[in-house]
Amino acid sequence: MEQKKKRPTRQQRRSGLIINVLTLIVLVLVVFEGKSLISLFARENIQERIQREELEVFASANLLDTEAKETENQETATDVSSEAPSEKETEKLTEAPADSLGRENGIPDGGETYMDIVVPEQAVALDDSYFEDAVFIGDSRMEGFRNFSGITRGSFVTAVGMELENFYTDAQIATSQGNMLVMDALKNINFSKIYMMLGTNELGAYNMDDVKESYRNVLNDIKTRSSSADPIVYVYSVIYVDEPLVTTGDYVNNENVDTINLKIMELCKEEGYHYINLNEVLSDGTHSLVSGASPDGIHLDQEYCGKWLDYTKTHYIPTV
Amino acid sequence: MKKRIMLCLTAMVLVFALTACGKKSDEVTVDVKKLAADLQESITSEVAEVSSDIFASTFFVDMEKVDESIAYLNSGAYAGEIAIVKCSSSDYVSEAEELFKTRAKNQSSLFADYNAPEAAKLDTAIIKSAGSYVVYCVPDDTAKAEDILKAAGF
Repeated sequence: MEQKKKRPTRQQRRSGLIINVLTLIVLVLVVFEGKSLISLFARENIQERIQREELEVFASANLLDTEAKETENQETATDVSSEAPSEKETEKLTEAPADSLGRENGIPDGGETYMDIVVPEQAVALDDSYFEDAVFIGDSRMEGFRNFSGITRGSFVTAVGMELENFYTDAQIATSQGNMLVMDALKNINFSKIYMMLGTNELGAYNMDDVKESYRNVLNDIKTRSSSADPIVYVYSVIYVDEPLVTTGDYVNNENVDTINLKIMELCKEEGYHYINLNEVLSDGTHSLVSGASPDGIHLDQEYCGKWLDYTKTHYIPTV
Repeated sequence: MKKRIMLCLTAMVLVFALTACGKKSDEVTVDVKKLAADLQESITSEVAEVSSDIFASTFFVDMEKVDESIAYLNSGAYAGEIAIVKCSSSDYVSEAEELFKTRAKNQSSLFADYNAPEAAKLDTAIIKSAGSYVVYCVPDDTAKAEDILKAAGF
């Protein structure tokens, strides 16, 4: 005999509905908040959390206290130093700074005949707006200048290891469209001034005349990418190195720097380019980089990148 | 029986709901400047803070999609560098991570011929995110950098 199925009461139906709804909510919460629940149990209990936050608060309070003390100490130190210079400071003051050694400082032997292409110092320093339409192209030294000098305008096409030999072959310039050759990267830049620095990675070249010809070709090609029919071309001297600190090879020496700089001066003379003799301000007067200007003997620190920028701002060709 | 099930489910709802409330205090808030300064301790060579223009042209981050950014770059001699961004939206986090990965890869290939030990540091560059923050760091002392980041919530 078939038993008649008992129909659930209204109360039973309501309870069933509530259970279903609650189950659904739990499932949703499990999906979205499960991760948080795990972290709640796994990471740390509430007490540990309170302790950690307390420590953070105390740590920041101590930090502020230390900063205040440091400021106080600095003020005291400034007061003392303004009263009387220490022995060490007096010693430093008596040393002749590189920029007081004269315009011939850092010019390679034989370069005196090309002094007319060496950019002279101007009475008025430029501000950064001059570099708005300038492109700075170069190797890791130029990259350091970009990062350390504080320059605020200008386009930079730089790469660690850039050299004349790989100029047309290596897609070494990172751009928002991917890595490009220097010449392709220049297509996206409007420039009418060129600041160029290559040569450090060519110091081991067998034939410096070949280097000069490669440099000539590269500069000619770069000029064709300019938005101006007659761009101003500034070629930086290769900066001297601090030989005892150099570990990248014996060929990175100041004799080779002088040799390549003489070739660059010849090139500038032949092509009507402007030679910026950075070594006037970065050489110690003995055809060497000022001691202490570079931690690795090649790349300049912030202070000397700042001097590089200052020199660039006071050494330019005035527009008529 | 049904009453027990209801009680049990109600308790579970409460537990999960409370967890949801607690999530807000778990959100990472980073003092970007302080973190960048702390991370400098993991780099032995000199690094300098660069402008937002240089930041953008180095990492190709869409500056309209970040609320805060900071970068310390090197002299060109060494690989050590730091970049931190706070993305405006969590949607941009993975893109920022990818951009930092690309930077590390590019720099590594440039350093490979020039200074191989520095290239190795770039190959193990730290790229981490927490909340809407993304950090990129090429340290000399990886353990130190990892500790600093862990303490900051990464």
